Amino acid sequence: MAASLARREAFRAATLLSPAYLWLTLAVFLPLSAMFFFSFLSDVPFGDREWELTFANYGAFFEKRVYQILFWRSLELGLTVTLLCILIGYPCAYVLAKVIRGRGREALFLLVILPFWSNSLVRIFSWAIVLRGNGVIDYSLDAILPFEVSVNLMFSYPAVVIGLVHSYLPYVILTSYLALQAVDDELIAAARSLGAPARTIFLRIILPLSLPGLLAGAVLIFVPVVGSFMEPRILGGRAGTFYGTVIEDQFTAVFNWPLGAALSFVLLFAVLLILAVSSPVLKRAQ
Amino acid sequence: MAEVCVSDLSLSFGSYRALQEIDLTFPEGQFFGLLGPSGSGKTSLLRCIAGFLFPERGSISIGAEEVARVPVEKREIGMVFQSYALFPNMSVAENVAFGLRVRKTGRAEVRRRVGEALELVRLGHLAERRPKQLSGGQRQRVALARAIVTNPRVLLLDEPLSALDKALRVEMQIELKRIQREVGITTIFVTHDQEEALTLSDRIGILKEGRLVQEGTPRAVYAAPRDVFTASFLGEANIFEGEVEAGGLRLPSGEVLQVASGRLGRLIAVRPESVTISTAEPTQAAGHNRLKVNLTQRVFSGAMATCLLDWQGQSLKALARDQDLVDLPESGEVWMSWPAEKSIAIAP
Amino acid sequence: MQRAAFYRGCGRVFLGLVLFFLYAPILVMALMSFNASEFYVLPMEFSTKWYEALSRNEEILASAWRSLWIASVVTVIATGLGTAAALAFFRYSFPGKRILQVLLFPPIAIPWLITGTAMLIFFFSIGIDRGTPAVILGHTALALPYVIVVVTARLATFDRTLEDAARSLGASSWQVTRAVTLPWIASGVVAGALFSFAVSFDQFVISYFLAEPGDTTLPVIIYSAIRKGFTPEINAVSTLIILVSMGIMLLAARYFRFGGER
Repeated sequence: MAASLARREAFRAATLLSPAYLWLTLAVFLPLSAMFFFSFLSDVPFGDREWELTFANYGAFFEKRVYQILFWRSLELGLTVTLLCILIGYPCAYVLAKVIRGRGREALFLLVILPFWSNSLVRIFSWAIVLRGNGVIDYSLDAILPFEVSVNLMFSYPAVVIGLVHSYLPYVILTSYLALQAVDDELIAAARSLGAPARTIFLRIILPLSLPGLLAGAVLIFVPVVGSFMEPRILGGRAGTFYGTVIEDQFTAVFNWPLGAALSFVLLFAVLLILAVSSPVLKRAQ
Repeated sequence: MAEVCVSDLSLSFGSYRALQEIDLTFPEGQFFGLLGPSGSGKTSLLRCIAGFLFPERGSISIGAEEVARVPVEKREIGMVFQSYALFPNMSVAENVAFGLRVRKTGRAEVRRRVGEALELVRLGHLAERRPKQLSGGQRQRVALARAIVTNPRVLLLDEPLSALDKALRVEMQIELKRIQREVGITTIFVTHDQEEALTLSDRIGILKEGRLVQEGTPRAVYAAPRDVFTASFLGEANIFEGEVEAGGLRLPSGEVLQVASGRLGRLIAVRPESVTISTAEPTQAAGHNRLKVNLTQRVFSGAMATCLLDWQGQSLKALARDQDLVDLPESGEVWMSWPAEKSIAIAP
Repeated sequence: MQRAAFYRGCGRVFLGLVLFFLYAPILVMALMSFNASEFYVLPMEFSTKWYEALSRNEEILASAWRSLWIASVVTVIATGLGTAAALAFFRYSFPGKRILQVLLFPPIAIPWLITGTAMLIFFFSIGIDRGTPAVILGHTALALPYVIVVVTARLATFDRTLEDAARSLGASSWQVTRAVTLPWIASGVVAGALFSFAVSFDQFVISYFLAEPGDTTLPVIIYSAIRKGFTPEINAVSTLIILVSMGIMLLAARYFRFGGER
């Protein structure tokens, strides 16, 4: 009786779940598997092309210095952007969660994370307009400063960093805000009643309790930034060659899909490594 | 209206045996209280009767129908939940009408029966309110009206009063009893509050660790608990252990406690309210028990007072009207006595 | 006490600066779409000519309609499948449940570049060429986890005994869902739907790899225009996109508190 009941429940669960998971299998899990398979091919297995299994694509990553340099460059970009987002975003989340009170808080919070849900391509484009030489920045600086200056940040590494920070800043604000808000004000009141100075309260109570949220935000930024290609292309120009853009090239310009697949899997492996390392802390965040 | 009969019912969750071989009849039209500490299986038994849990062995019948394998929505029962479980997206009237609607009852009849049910629980004037706008006691009444409006064969109540504060709880007990009488529905309710069980029930059943320990009218179970657990769970009891002797129990210290009737075992129980406390030594008489004890504390609680006593290292209790205790010292040696017929023999 | 007030003031100013950083470029872009000069010459001269040009640009208009159409289809599918899955997770416990829930994260966490190119490879291999069906397949897969997460969050506040109560009153499984469960999670479902729409409508990377070059979505058109050397016409359409997607999210915020306190 109990067994047949369990079977009936399992059947109902399967009916409700299978459409969603079949879809995910078809559109995410099978493609990732196919890509893994392609990364070991000498050529695409279409038409009457000759192909064989090979490690040459992964070999290319380790033999050609350019891939490694770009890989490290992308990691460095990821670290820079993540760090800047934390330095700007965490204090911002703190102000929102612990300084601002009342109805205004929710509206401000919404205002901060609203850009995050709007079109990222368009937001990167808006920076292209702001940063171009003889543009808005020069014009405003001229109006303020008595001497002539010309700032042309467009098509440079800093431009890419600015654009990416702008894109991903709301992530870290969102996760930190949720974590900070969960820190009970009574805890802080209790610490104060025990005579703790503000610095101690922050370092011993607020920061440790909100750290999982902060790290969750950091991971959520680092991963996509390392794999970014659209932002460097638009804002970086010639300075915008990164690991992501090289992968994109394999699919849209060079049409070396197996190499692109292998390079993607190297990146995916790095991403999974980072997720695995941070998962114990992230679990506490939930 | 129907009699509910449970026989040889067993239920396990994994290796945990929630119910073991329960045999119990819930008589037609009566109010039956299932009583036990948490983990005793009382709620599991109720959920088996409701149809949320399916026993792996045994049968459940409502009237003449065997229902052990019938899912809850086909059982024609009414149930009131601990949290009331009123649908927040519906008004009071819509909540009450829900059971009738799913039965495809005609519109006019739904209106009439919902009206009647709300009148029965005296909430006719709040029909259009949302559950959120009601007080705890009012929600409880709505839940009750919703459960009985479909004329179920049996009404199940899962700790229905535990969420209310004490004053309201007493009021609702009286109300619940009135409504049950008026409708005359077979009612099974679960509680861990022994006082509530005694007040409301026509019959009670006591559960412990998944087994039915004793069943009967509240008065009968209270007067003759079958074991120490029942004696001390249903009301309070002073328990004495000794050797069986003709007409009584010889305690290790040498005193003999007299017992009027009953199958004598090694244990007897004495209710605190059966005991008299005095400073003067009571005369030794047949049919009367007395012990010299140490009064350690008097706890005043209005009309009544509890005396905490110590007898050779064992803690005892006596309950008396406070005015009867004016001559007593705050502490010190006193006599405790009770008539032999108040010694409850507990069968081995 | 005064020092505390001073720090609070600094905090507010800092928050203001962050908001300026987030919104200034968007405002500049919007302003420039009204600048008559093609080369963004300042001081600007007000004109709506780029919006007029936009209204005659067949390619952009067609891709805009395609984007809206795709987003609508994606919303319907992802909301339906995602809500069903969230209900299953809420109601039943079964072996492997935890793994299935963990499997929702790859589509969110893996860089879109990888997911997109993987889809390109696989779809091409099994004979789904670049084009709208491939885009819908991909967008829906990315939107599904968001719907499941949002609806699950709403279900977490749902009192299970309400379903028990409805069943005890004789309601069938479907009647329980329709009369009790769905009304409660409706706000979560609406929020999930709006998320799906935003995910699809704003999606660039997946569309970039999966859409047919001559027949593509609005973000891809904008991207190629930017790469070719842009005109204020692109500002105009970008401004409109920002308005649409922010509007959707403001709507979603009415149904789903991001702050988590409801």
